[in-house]
Amino acid sequence: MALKRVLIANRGEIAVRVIRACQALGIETVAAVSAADRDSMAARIADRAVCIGPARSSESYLRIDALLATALGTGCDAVHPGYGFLSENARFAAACAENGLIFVGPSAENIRQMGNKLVAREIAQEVGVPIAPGSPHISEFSTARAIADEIGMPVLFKAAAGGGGRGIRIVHRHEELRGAFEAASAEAKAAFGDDALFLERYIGNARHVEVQVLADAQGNVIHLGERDCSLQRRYQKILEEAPAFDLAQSLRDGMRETSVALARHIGYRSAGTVEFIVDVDRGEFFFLEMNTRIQVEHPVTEMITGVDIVAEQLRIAAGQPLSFTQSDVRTEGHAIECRINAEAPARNFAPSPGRITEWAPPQGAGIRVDSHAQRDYVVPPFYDSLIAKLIVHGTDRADAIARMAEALAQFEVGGIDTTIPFLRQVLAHPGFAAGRINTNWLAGIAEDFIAEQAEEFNA
Amino acid sequence: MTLTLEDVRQILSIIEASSFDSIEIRIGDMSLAASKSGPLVARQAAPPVLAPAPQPTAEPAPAGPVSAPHQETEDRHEDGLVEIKAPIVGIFYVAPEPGAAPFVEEGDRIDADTTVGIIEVMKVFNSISAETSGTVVRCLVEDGAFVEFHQPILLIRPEA
Repeated sequence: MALKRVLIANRGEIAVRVIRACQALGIETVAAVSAADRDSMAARIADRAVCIGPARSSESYLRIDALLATALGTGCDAVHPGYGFLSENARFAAACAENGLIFVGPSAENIRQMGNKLVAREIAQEVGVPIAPGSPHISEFSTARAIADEIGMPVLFKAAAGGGGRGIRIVHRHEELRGAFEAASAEAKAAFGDDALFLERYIGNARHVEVQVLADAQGNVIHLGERDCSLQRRYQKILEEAPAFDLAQSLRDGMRETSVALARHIGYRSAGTVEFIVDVDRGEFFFLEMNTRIQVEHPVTEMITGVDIVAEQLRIAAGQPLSFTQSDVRTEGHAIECRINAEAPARNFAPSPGRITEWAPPQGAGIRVDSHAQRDYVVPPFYDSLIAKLIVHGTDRADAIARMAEALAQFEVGGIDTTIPFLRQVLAHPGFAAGRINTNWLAGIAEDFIAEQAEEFNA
Repeated sequence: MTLTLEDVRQILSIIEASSFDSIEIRIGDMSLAASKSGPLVARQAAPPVLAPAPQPTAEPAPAGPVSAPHQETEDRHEDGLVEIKAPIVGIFYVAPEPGAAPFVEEGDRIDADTTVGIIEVMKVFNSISAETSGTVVRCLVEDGAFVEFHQPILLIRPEA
């Protein structure tokens, strides 16, 4: 059975990406768009576009009932959720199934399991995925002290109920433990109504490495190697690479094997990503979470493996087996992705929506641009600021860096501010070229950049 | 709702720092329009609506339940007619139940609170009020058709 018509329940570059993958497979598409996206590229290239509600995403892209009514009303047999919005919403996946629609993703049950930090951690532990030393749920200071004594300093506290980077407290000395515990509990209580804390070893020199997996309904589970996503600012990834460079083969093998084991254990089906934190100094890796959707940075893996991950996702959703086996997967060279956001890096990365008056993306061999933007496109102020992903493929990391620097130099955008000037600076940094990066590295570079820009402005 | 001078100053400074060229704010019956680059384009009474995206002609339109071609135009037609638009996406029903008489027919006189149809969104039935009083000139959507958000469903000649 093949899919006939897919509802694209997303917007922006990923909507365009999924529509193109459908077109290549001969599948019809219906783009569900908000009133602000009526004129978008996704609306234009889809076979049909349906306006599902006003600009505000809570009344359009996050409305399960409107999306399902549209899928059913236009004769779709499947729904692709993209990333963000409802892509990791178990209720949405379940509602699709209840209405006879194929959700292009894993089961609602898998989304629920991996979406809950405690459950995901328990399952990972069962499968033998290393978990950072610590405890996921602490309410008493005496427990916190006992665990901190056991795992040693430094440690970090965060809200057990929380997500993202909210309320994180890093403690370097034993005498600071009580103060940090009390402050973090109070913050957790205020933000989430639950003062329970998560306590684990703090890894100062850490890299964020993730493994791409694909699993079909027939029980085949494979991996497509790993990506390094250590360059983050305020927990938002800015630049990603594949493969993760300068890692011991034992670390790579460990992450790949445990990722496949985790996906197999829960009966996972679709594309997924298992995220790890790598302790560079100790040479250890620990489970962070599993993302049960296509990821923004999937193209770097596609560039080095030649696998079309979205196409595989669509085939798997239709019940077809993977078109290749693990031993068919070969990687070649090195790929880097830069996220081009409509933001003003000089103004502390403030959003910069508005009309794009000039749009000249770089072109050439080994360059890929995934984007929904073009000249005269108005970047709406209602959604996230990603307007393009620039991806390059080189023979090795040094070659990929040189190509990315050149591609960024050519990329001209007018009318709005973008992160391009900042990315140019990152690519030119000797520390980046030398691979001396970790998850804290980019924050420092960003601060320097903002300060320099302010100086230039005042000069 | 009133705006103080300070409110206006703040709004203007936000626009100044943004990359937008012009802005129009409406709060109740108060409206404020400002432009960075020159005179504002003359406006009709109704807010402008983006033109429909051109349909790619090379690609076949999907089969299946397709509603009447949806041309989004100005609310107010040249001949003074007004469109009543679908406030939500869903299946449009002209009558309270199958076989019953329609809520409204062409030539009927309606008030702002007259129910003109029902839109079903995943088994939830929403009554749609006219929001305008006048005479029904044309019904634009067939019973049981799928309607988009803001798709015109009725054409009304408003009361003078």
